[in-house]
Amino acid sequence: MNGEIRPISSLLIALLGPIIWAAHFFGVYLVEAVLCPAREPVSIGLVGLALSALALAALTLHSARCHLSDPAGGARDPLRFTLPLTLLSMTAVVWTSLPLLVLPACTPGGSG
Amino acid sequence: MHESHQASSSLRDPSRREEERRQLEAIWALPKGWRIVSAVNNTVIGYFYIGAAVLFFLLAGVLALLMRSQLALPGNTLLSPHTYNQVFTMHGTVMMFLFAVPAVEAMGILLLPQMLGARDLPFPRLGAFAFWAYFVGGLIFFGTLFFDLAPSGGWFMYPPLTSSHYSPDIGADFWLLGIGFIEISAIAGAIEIIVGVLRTRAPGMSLDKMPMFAWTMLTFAVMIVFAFPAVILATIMLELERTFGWPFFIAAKGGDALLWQHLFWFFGHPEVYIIFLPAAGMVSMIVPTMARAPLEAHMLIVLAIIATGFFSFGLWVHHMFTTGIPALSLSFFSAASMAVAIPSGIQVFAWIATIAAGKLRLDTPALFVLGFLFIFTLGGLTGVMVAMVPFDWQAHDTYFVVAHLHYVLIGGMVFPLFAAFYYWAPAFSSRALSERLGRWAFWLMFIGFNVAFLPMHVLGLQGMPRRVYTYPAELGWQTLNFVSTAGAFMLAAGVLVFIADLVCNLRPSLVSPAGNVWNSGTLEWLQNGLYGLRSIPHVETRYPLWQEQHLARDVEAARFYLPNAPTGTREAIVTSPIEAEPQYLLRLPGPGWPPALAALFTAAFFMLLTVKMIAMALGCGILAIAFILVWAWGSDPMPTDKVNIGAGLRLPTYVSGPRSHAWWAVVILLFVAGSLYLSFAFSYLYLWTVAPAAWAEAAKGGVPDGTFAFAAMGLLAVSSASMYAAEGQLRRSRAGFGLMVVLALLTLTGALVLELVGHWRSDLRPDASGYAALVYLASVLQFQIVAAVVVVGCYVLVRLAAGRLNSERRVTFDTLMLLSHYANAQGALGVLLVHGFPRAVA
Repeated sequence: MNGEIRPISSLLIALLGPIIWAAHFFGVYLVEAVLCPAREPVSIGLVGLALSALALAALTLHSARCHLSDPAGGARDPLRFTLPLTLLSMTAVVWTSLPLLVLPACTPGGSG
Repeated sequence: MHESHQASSSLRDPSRREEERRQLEAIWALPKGWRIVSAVNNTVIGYFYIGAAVLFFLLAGVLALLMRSQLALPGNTLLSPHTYNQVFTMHGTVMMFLFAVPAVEAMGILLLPQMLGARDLPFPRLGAFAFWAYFVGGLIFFGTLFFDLAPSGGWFMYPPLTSSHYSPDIGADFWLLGIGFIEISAIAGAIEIIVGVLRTRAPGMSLDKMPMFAWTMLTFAVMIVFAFPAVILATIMLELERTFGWPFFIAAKGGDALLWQHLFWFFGHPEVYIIFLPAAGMVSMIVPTMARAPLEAHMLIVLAIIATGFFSFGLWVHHMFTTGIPALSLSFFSAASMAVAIPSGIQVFAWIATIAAGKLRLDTPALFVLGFLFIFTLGGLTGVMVAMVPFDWQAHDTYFVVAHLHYVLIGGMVFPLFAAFYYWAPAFSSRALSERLGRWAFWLMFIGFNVAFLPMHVLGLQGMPRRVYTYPAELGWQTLNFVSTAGAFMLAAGVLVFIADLVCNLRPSLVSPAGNVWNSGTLEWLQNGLYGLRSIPHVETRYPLWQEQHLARDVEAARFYLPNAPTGTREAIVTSPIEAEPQYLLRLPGPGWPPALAALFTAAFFMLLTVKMIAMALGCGILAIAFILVWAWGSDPMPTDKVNIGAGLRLPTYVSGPRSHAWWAVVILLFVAGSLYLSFAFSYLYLWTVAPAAWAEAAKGGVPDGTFAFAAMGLLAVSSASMYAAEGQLRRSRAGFGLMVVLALLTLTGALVLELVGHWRSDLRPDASGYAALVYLASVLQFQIVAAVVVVGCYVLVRLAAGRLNSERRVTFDTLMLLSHYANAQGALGVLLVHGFPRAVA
């Protein structure tokens, strides 16, 4: 029982990928929700993309750490899915960010 | 393979084994006759839970048939418009809240201990409380239909339709208080499941060896913890608006009806996955058995389950595509809606690969699984269609959406559940269900379902709106509607065949079930007694019955852990969350009345509030708390020396702090409270974006008074410091400890009183505006947590006086300390938000 894995930090590290995705997702949503009433449409795209770059950098760093600290994919990762979960989160961040490149901010939806 | 974890055979002589077995039977014996109501065993509560969920499924199904009968012909007058509104509201509400979530929770409570090799879940009385609260509350709620008191605003109860102006009768109040209360019981069940899965797995069953159903139930329960508080907050807000005129959702007073939609769907969309994931877990258990091959891509499926859990929280706005939210924001949610198809796809392909790798036996459970794959995939495809914003604008609020949601929910949850009934019946009944009747049930349900719901896609594309009680013949919708009604009755016939099968063949038995008729590989198929397994094995593989030779024989020969009851009470082994290393022996309570009575009075409290019988409601509320305290009194037993649990292992019988299962439960409860408060913070910021003028006004007028805020912050700091000091005093002086706890409680309460006095003296009134209502709502939420801390604090002082609390026996104090620090943190956040934010944005 000595040298026991610390459960909460292990779970948090394993789930860091989707946690970053969630933070990014709510971040870009909040940016538009808060800045549109302030009539700042240009900065919304920039702030949103900056958040995306930050999230992708954090995810890249996390996946590199996972890979370097545990190249065999298992021994130090008791849940054995941290790396693929981080890569999936990366895909989701890229996917969520694409509208920032192609759509203008603050245009009402539903108007056809 | 298991030698190091087994007792030597000399200790296992037959007479000793028989004596131990009799001891276990006596300790785990069930109450006789009608006293079975006081039982808390997971198996009994599981049976009750599933029975109740099936009952509500049948009742809501009858409502569906009434609706389909009404719509079978144009201009039909079978149901009046008002009754039709009540019927569709109750159908959706009962199916979602009283059938779907409780049914999967029930399967978890029934199956998880057996599957994880535990004797019971860690909080049996909490499980019993959750069930009785749900059952009593659910029956009263359904009964409103017979008195013309049922809600009629649709299962998602959008204001302003459900405001007191447009829905003045008490139907909406029954929904708000009844469903809010039933959600609380679901949260109680979720806490039980999380701690059960993480802390009571058989030794050696590390997370990577845990059965897939347990993974999905864990994710399900965590999602409940984060999703349900949003709708609980929404129900509190709408009820406060309806009863006291606090205008959260009234645009003319700075509120916004869309806030309800945000809060409701922040719960409502994860709810779909909350229902689907456990069903997918059942499929992941059934497919390997039926295909006779281990599940392909096991860890990828775990990844998919976790990813689905996360992504499902980024989908809520896809129910609001037509509300005028900016197009860019819609695109984020549209993207997330499509991204969630990736993890769902991983699971579907893994099941197909498993079927391809093995040799599928086409028995009834496999048929229902194949039906699920077909129907759910179609529902998923139409889901991708409505995730496209332009398509959704066309299809929104039409029968296309009705068809889509039924393909997802019936395909994704009902078919797997029926597969599970047929699959697991032999583990809990002395007879398996009939294969012949099962096939009839499947084909009637499968064909009936598609005949009922496929035409609805076309009706939706033709423009038929949902929730209309009739339609004129000239629109040309009658043929498809008639076909759809015929399909609905066919589906109902399939369900009736299933019920007939249950009546003819289900013979619940805990001690002599039909057994492992499918030759499955997981632990729930081992021979169980009232006490669960004869001995708790050390698990080394994912499919122990397939991969660990002689395991069944050795378990039955009592060669593993806990072949007896070393403390003379009900027990469970608590293991570490990830590696499942044995940590301590948990002493569990036996049968008792307090959980059922506490649930009864809790239900009475909420229902009497609805009909405005305030004094009686308060009386019932006090009785409910009293019974909860009575049940808590026997918890936190006296620490003893380490005991021998067999196989050469000695464990402590008492642990406090982060290793304790109780600590985990309280921390999860605090996540619920935190989630509720974050939903409030979201609401506060949301209304600021809608009506910023009120905030600017507040900053100019100095409202609320900042002096009181500083004083309140000071009191909160003193409260927290006192609680720290109390912990130190616990080892030194009983009087000093008591004094510090009293000081912590008084200062915490004082901070709340100061806040309220400050608001009131500033002439701020909660019915004046959405802003003012939110300011007072912060205090309402703080009152809830302060009341809990005060009750627990007084209870701790009584235990101290009774000599049931000291530096070693301190789990009750740990609970108080966690609650108290959280309450201080929440109070401080509230003060910063209410006083700091308006000034900051000014």
